[in-house]
Amino acid sequence: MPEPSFLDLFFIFLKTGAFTFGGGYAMIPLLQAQIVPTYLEGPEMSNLIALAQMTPGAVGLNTATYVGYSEYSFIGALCCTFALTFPCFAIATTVSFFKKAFQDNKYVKNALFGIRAMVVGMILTAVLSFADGSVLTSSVKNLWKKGAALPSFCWQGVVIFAVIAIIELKWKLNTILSITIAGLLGLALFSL
Amino acid sequence: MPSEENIQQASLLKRCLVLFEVFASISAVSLGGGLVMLPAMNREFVEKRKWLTNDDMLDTVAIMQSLPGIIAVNMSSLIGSKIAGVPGAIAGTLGVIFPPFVTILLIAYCLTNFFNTPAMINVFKGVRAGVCALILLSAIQLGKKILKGPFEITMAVIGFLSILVFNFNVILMIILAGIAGLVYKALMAKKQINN
Repeated sequence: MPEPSFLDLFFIFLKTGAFTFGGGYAMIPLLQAQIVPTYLEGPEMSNLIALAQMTPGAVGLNTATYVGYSEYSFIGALCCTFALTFPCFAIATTVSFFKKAFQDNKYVKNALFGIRAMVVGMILTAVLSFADGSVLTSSVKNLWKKGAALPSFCWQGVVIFAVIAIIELKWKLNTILSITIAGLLGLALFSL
Repeated sequence: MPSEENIQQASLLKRCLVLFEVFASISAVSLGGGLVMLPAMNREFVEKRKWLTNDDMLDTVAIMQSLPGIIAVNMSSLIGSKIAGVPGAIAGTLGVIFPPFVTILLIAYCLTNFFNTPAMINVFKGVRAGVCALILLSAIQLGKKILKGPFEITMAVIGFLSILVFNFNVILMIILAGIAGLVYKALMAKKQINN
């Protein structure tokens, strides 16, 4: 894996901050697509994002801080967090002075109509990248490469997936609790 | 009970400090951020201090959903600037960023070596399987709300394949999706006039 140059990383987060619509989960596929597989392995990136979800605060911000820290320690964390935050801060503050013009703007609405629909598909790719090495034995992305092995299901991952899905549908626990349960199940089942 | 200062009485500095404090305390405990923060905002700024009206909050929510980036930051910038101009937007946004930033640095600093132990690798396998389920469920929910016609479904399929199979530039795809939305809606409007 090549080390991302400081500027590369900075611009990845800057672009993501400016072009994510829908917040939270919508940011995950954008970051994955730009960082994996050039700078981080899929599962490694997924771990950082999962960790970001277990820490209080916005998922995107937390991911920026983690990735920044893991590549360039404190100064990396600071710059990546700044890069992700700055575009939305600047845009939102500017818009706050022209609220009326922006609020009922039909062009903004129509553009978002297209973007939101595409983002749903993009989020589904994030599902597959989290399945890599947990629910599935290898990445689905490799399917298009010549001579790649077909990924097969990994029973422990499938069990955890099912348990968490059932918990979420039935009781809607808070995310930290669900993820903690998943982690403990992982420790128990994968250590068998 | 001491009455809260109203927005005219409170100095700019006071308003900025309150913005920082309120956003920091909400960010420190909120999970996933974003819309989860709304009830707490409402309690602090509308009910307790009366610095904003209900309409202000509704406006903020409406605008926020069409802005890019982190929802919590959009909220802190919009509400901050409404209460105390640009300094308020900065104070609120710093408040949002500060608690998770410090928490993560501490975790990352203390635990980095610990993450590569065999036990933790298994924990993370479980965590990834769990997150996989959580994201899938939320994508299904989102899909039910958004994908209502053939155009929307086509866009979602393109978005899916563009990342998974073609490795297209995501930022470019988002821009193209915006243009596609504009063109589609313009064509629909034209069709309606012709009918």
